[in-house]
Amino acid sequence: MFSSNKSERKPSEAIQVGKPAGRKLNEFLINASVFMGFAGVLVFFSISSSSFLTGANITDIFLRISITGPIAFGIMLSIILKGINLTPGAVVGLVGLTVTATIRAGYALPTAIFLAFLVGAAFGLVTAFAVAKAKMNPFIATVAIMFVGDSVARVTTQGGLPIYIYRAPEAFSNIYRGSTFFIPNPIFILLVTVLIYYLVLERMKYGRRLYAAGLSIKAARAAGIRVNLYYGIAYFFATLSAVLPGIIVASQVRSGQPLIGHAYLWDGIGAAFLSTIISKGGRPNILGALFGAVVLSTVDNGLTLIGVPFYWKEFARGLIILAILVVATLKNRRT
Amino acid sequence: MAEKILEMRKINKIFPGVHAVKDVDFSVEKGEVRALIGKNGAGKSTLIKVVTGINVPDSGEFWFDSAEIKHFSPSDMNKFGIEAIYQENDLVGHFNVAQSILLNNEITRMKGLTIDKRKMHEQAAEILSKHLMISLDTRRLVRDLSVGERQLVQIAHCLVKKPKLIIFDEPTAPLNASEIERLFAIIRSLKKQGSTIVYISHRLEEIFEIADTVTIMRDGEKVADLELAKSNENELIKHMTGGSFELVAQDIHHKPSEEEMLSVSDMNTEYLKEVAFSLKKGEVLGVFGAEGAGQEDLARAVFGLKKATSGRLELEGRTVKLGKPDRAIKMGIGYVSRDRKEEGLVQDFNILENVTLANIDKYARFGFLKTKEEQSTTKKLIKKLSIMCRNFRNVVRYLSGGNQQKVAISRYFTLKLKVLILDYPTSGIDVEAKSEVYDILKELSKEGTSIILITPEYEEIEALCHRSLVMRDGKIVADIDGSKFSEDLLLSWAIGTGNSREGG
Amino acid sequence: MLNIIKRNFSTSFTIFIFAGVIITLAFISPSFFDFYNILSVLGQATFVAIPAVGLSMIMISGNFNLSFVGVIGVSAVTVGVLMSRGVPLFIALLVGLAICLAVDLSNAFLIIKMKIHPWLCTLATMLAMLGLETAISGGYFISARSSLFMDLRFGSFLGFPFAVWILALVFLVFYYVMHKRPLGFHIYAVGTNPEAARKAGIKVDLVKFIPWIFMAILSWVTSFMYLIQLSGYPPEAANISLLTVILAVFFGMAISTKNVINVPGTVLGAVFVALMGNGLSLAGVSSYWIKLVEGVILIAVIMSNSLGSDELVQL
Repeated sequence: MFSSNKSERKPSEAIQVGKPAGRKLNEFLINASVFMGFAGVLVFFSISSSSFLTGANITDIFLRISITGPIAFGIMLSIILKGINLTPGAVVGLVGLTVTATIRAGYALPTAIFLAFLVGAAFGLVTAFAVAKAKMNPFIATVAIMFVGDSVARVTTQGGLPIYIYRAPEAFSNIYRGSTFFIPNPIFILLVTVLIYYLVLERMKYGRRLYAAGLSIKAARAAGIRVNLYYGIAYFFATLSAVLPGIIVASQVRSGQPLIGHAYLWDGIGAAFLSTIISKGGRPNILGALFGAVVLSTVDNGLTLIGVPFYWKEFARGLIILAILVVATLKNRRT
Repeated sequence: MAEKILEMRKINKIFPGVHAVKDVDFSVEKGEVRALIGKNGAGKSTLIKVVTGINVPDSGEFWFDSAEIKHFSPSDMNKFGIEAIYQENDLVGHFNVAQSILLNNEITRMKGLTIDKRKMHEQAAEILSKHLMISLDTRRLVRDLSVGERQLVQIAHCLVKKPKLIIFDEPTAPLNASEIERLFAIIRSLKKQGSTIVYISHRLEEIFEIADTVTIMRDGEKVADLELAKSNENELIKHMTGGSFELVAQDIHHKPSEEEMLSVSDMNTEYLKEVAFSLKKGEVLGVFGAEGAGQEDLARAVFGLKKATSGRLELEGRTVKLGKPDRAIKMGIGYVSRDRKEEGLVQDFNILENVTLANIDKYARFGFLKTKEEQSTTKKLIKKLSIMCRNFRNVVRYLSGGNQQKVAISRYFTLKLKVLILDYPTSGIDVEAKSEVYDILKELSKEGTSIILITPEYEEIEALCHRSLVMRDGKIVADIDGSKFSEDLLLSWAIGTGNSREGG
Repeated sequence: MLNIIKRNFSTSFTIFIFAGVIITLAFISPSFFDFYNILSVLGQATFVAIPAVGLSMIMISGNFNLSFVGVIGVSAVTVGVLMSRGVPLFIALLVGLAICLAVDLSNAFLIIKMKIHPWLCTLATMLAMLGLETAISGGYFISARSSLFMDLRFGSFLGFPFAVWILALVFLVFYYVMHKRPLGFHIYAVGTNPEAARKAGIKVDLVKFIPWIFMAILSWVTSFMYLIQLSGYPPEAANISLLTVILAVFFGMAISTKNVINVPGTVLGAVFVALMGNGLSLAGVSSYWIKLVEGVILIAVIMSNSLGSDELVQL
């Protein structure tokens, strides 16, 4: 309990200024391998399918990214807090149903969109409450809420029957097919979303606090950050971030498909975790998540083009996510 | 001549930059109760970790029960019959007492087919009554037991393997008076049954009560083996400190102003009792005491990280609501946690991010970070505090302990700091950084910031403080003015019976 | 003190729900308590109870597993497909078992040795397995025709159908292992306080591996049950039971006075959910509503458990 300042303690630790060189090299190698791997994948697909590198297909890929991306970004918010959020899997479908049902009932598009956000917000609030207030394990909570959401979808559609819109209003169809400033709408929305996330997370104090809360609840609290509040808000927005993709999907297929969100959910999870690999020090980040969305969407597109049936795609997706998890865990191990 | 159960000769243990144990001879006779005392950093826990097999000695001989031991590992030492009881919670909360005591030694019947619950309860109860002379309902769950009862369960679990040497590491810290008596009765009974005990503690009056002999360590060396019956508290303290210290002239810093800065009254938490003190503007107040005497609680309660069941805090005359760290910071109170790694800093943030974290509102306009200002402030602070790094983008995790601490302190320089509370600020820091931190603190107090300095190092109190509190068992037991500082005095308040010993 | 109230709250809350639902359903549908109905409910419950027992043991050891729905699927369709190709039943079953063991041991390796997060790892594995299952089955119902299966499905032994016997067997075996053998205690110790277990001399990593072997076996048994009871395996049949299985485990934890996951509680939970589902469907409630109610109850039960804790959960 009483120390002795008489002990000769030479400045013991080698003053390590910056990361040890070995670690930096490690990081660089892993990042490089990921990029090269992706490049390899691109090469593979271009060889295997002549339509891969066409303008139309690339546009398709970007359109898919515009759906997977925001979902990945939302999930990324949760993994910043060392948790996860699976609710987008259900919200995407529910939003689609809401929008199409509203339009079919004759209401205007803005009303439909408003209701969609309401649905998303409702789920977001429940999720936020479960994790931040009731302190539930995020996985269990969001898996259960997603399940409930799916059940709601099934219940309201007699078991999962889609809701079709036969004469889709132009405005609705244009969400997917129209353009703003010569950029297809979904991509425009994606860019705006990326910009907002980037600004908030990297350039605003809120992002700083959020990262702090995720890295160390104790340290964040000691710095005066209201950690519980940030948890609630992050999980809320994670769920809410599925609303826009849901609307875009509904516009794309001009119908409300109850369970359509699942595939995007998995891609979103993979993309969000990929951002921990392409990152400084394992921190999930928006550009990494965007890259992840690019990778996962491209792989999905490429596999479809070369005729891989959906079940093998699912199998591949599972393995890809496992691989990402293994690399991410290995890379971010402290020892 | 009684047989020696443990004999360690010329044991050395060196860590990078620290010769923690120097040529120590440590021997214990069978059936002895040996106390081991010394200040923090004296080397006791390093030495004990050699005995329990966690540390491998760099040189020296180790004999246990007349057999020389060359391979060191915890499970080996267990096999030889060495057990240790620590303060950590080594129990499974939802197990009952019998399950806990007999973990990995369960009793089965029908040739090992099923667990014999009845026999387990019987045997557990027997161990408790025979060796510990207590009876506990063995069906009770560990998590429903009091801290003292849990310790008993841990001891019982230890005894199942019939150890020859049992080490107790600060066992009485969480216990109340009757539980301590019970523990002593157990130790005496264990001794009668032939076990040897090594008892590490900082509570001198307990050592006189329970131990036969005492080994005192200082600066990595063994300085004395004494028979307690022939010694007294003052002699022990003298050995621990190496003699009296000269009062260092306190011209190094100014006198604090007469204005009151902070006043705390009637503060109670789970552990703290009726804590009250006040602080003048520019004053440096030390808080001295043994580990766990309540200093940390005091700091955290004032800052708002620990719930206070009652208490009043006034800063410059204005009442401050307790329990909200963000409030405290806004009002100018800073807290540098003892746990630099997990709490003082966000290890994976860089210097800039850590420096601005507590007061980030200042560096943001409409929520957007004013990067230039952040950077210039951080650069200034790096220079001012001589933080050794390449630039502000260095991730804090890779800085040395001393530099990390400077970053942790520097974050409060972004505020109009009125009171800075530091808890064990120089633990694990090299000498150079330490003196730099001292200079920083002296500067601060000269500029009018009040400082509360919790430290186990007397030298720090002497060098920096105008005044010091001494805490013990959750209470403030002494408030000593700088002119009366002496290590023996403070120590005796902290761990002894409080008989003051002025000067040398 | 507050903790004791909070703990008992979850126990009583759960029992209250349990009793309330059963009684309500009994009133609504008189045929609820018919002996044969109960037997059929118990048979239904096996689909949930058996994997739930496996999941319980994995959770007790401190891990988690989502992938079993996929493992069951792959095993079931593989056995079915092999059978339809003329492979002798017993070899087909062995292949099924091998698959379950391969996947769960791989999960165990990734989680225990590579320290991949159990939730995420088994989520990914589940996805892969579900894909694999559909790859093998083509998305079709795989039928498994065999006179043995017919006998097992419709016959009975001492008045109880085969399914009920399996349920009883699984319950007894794993109740015995977890509560009547030192291994069970060790698994609990390892899951609650690995350091304490280590200090007591328990080989932590080895003990963590064992529940995965059990899980593999139980998944295999479940796939076998599906094939028997449904004369085949409908696509992704086990999926729907994912949340129900988790609910059964938490139900078991909620009614335990020690507030720990336990085998009898889990089985009881599975039976309860099956009873509830049966009662509701006898009362004419659509199966989707039933699933919805299950999900809500799961959330409520878990919330009642975790409302006692004070800190946010980080995975």
